[in-house]
Amino acid sequence: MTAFFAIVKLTCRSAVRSHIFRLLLLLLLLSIFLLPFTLLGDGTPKGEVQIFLQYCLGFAGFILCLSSVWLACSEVSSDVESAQIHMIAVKPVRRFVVLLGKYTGVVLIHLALLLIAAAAVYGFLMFRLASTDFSEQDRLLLNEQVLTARALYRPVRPDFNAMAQQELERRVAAAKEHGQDVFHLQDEQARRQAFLDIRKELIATYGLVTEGETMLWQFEGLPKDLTDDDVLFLRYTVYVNRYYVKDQNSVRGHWIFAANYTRPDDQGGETVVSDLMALPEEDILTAAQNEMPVPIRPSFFVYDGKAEVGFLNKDTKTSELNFEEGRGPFLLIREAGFFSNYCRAILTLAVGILSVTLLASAVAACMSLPIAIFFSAAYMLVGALANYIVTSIPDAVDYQSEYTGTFGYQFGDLMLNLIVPLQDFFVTGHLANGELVSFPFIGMLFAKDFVLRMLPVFLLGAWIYTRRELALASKRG
Amino acid sequence: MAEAVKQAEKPAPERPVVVSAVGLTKVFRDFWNRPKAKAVNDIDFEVREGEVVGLLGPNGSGKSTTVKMLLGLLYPTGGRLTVFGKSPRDVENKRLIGYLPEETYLYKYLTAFETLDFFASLFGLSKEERIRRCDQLLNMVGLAHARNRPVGEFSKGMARRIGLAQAMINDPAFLILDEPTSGLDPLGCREVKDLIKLLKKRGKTVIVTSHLLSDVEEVCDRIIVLYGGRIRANGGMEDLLTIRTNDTITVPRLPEDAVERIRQIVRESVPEGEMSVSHPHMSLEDFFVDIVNAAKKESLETYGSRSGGAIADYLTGEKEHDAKAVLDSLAREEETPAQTLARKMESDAAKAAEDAAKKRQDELFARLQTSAPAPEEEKSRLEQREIEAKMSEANRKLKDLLTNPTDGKD
Repeated sequence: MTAFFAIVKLTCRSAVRSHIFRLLLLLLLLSIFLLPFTLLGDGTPKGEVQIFLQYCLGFAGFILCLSSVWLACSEVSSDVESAQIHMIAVKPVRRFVVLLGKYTGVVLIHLALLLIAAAAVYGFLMFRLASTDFSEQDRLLLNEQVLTARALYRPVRPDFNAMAQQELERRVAAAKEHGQDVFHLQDEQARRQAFLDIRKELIATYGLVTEGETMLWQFEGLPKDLTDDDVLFLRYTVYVNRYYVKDQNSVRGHWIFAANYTRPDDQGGETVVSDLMALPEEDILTAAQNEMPVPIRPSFFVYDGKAEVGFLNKDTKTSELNFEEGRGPFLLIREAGFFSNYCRAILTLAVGILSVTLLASAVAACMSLPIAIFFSAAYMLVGALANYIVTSIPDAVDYQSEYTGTFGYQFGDLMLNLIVPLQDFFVTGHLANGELVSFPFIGMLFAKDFVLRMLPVFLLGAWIYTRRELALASKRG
Repeated sequence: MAEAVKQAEKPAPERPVVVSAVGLTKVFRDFWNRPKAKAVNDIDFEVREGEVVGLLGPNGSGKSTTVKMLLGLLYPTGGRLTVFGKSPRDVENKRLIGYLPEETYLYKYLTAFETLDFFASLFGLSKEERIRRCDQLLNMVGLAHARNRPVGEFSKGMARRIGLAQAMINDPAFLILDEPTSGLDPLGCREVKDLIKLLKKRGKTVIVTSHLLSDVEEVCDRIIVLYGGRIRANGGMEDLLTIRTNDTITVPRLPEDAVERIRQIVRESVPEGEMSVSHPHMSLEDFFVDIVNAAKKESLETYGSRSGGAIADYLTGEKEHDAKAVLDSLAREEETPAQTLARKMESDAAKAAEDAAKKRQDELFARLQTSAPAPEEEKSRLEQREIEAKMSEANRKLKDLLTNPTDGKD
């Protein structure tokens, strides 16, 4: 263990005494103390705090990820290239221990920096909150919607396949009823194509609410022990028409909270509850995230962890309003305090640094310094773009019959399984929106990205490292 | 090729084998795995415990490749190579090995002490032991004053010294020194050579590669000469370098008559033209070392590394301690009672040989004393003495004249 700790210490010393590292550290400090003054929020105290949290912490995390990649590559790869590893490899220490020691050194120093950055951001935020004179309403908004940790519940996604199949059967039956020829649908491929077309149409029109119509969203998995003291929040973004338009408008409508469930009564029988409560018609800003506390006690519409929320379009100026999937409506319920959530967000970033360093160490263990840095950077970039792949895959199902579509789908699927989307670790957006960063979520990230994806890559890199002819790779001697 | 290899001497067979190479081959390949160069080509050699072996050869002869294979930094393409009976890649084996690379690859941001402390840590030494050894080694290699200076600021000579110190940190049983005197001043060279001699005295095994043949000649028992990846000569230094067709007698300065008598004796066996008598020369290195030592006595200082101090305690073997005892026991664990006996017998034989040589020398002097000079030679010697006496008288007069010119006028 003495040898392991000696290598860890050497790596830390190397980092602290390196010029590039000092430059990155300076950048980190700038991101914490200067960035807040360059950012413009939406003019409200809430927006200001949100921007501060999201960007300062996000930028600090990004700098630390870059720095850990650079340092890991430099420590492992340049040691081999400059032949300094010869002096270590001829000593009684296993190469795996050397690699692990270097990895641990890089991780430790970055975790220390992350803690410093996190403490600085938190301290700065608390100072600003304490030194600024907010109105009562602003302070309430901040406490309820930002400086809190609320679990977010998404509506149940409809089964588009079942809906498409049902719609197809309905249309075939209707066509037959009208005496139309549906002979071509007996062909399996034609029937599949028709199914895919209907499915695509359903997805495209999902979330569209025409004037005078109501759309309902089902929620499941809400806490069963909700009391009337608990405050639920409704978050949503609405667009005008089915195409994405960034222009903001004001539209009108009602939010409806429906109670549709069956519950056992005192006599041992069942009582069917069917009721609804609509909020007053209101002006709603489009293309902007809206959030409001639900002014109805939870016991009215939440039963057995299930709830139903609807929207009635009352806007006469536009033809239809669009609630895009993934942008709400969501229900939020407070679960923890802000400090706890802040620590969880830092922990998530730490898992990111652990994973990224693991990758960089593994790559540098078997490649030269420029290639290792290029590879790691490319991996991170592809990982950062993986979200687009994630969203494109459900649509790609429609093109499975085409070769290019099939290839794209398979490729995207493969990428998703291999590549770690870097932004998964950047939960500063959640933090800024007062959303809970749950421990199961952090555990899932750790298990999925660190253990299942990065660790095998690291072990492979270590395996190659222990078998490399180190003298062949050095550029000196 | 086997004929070309000069197998002048086999090492003492009773000593344990430290390095064994049989048919050792190393082929470097290109990106497409096509053979590019055969750096080492089917070589066989052995190095036994306690030997100091010089690995010689011009650039590209394969000596660095051989050294790197010994250290497990390169893997043989063919043949078998063992160090202490195990693969060179065996990690535990490396506790017994010390290595000074051709260029000292140090971490520039570490100070001299941190550098040694780091390498000592790799051997799992305790903190107290590390501090003790590091301080002693720094003192030994003359870098105690640069203890807290980053090694990146060191001159090449200082870097070599710190490199040498790190190679000794574990008191290795087997030391590989790649160009140990490269970049060192003559004083440093002398210290390194003295150190190698000390190691040899302690029964350590050393492989030295060097382009400075005089260094190798002075410290090595045996040399292996490589060229084109093959061994061209392998044997004891004495046997390979002794010119058996000539004899040299070195004695303290003799009176002229004694020299004449020796000449006369030699002339009985050798024609006049094949004989020469001269004074032995001091090597330039010895001369330089004397000058510097004299200057040191006058407290002249230098900015670079200073000449080394005392040999570290744990390297002299005079002061036993736990770590050394463990290392020694590891190094000697293969020695059997028979080998111990053989070692004693060898020591006795060496003493007997020394006694015989002394006896022969005494006989030679006795003969020189009893030999009467020939009448012609005696005459010539008397004439020479007369000439010398006259020249001496003339010189005395001239000196008097120069120091006291008024006497001349009188």
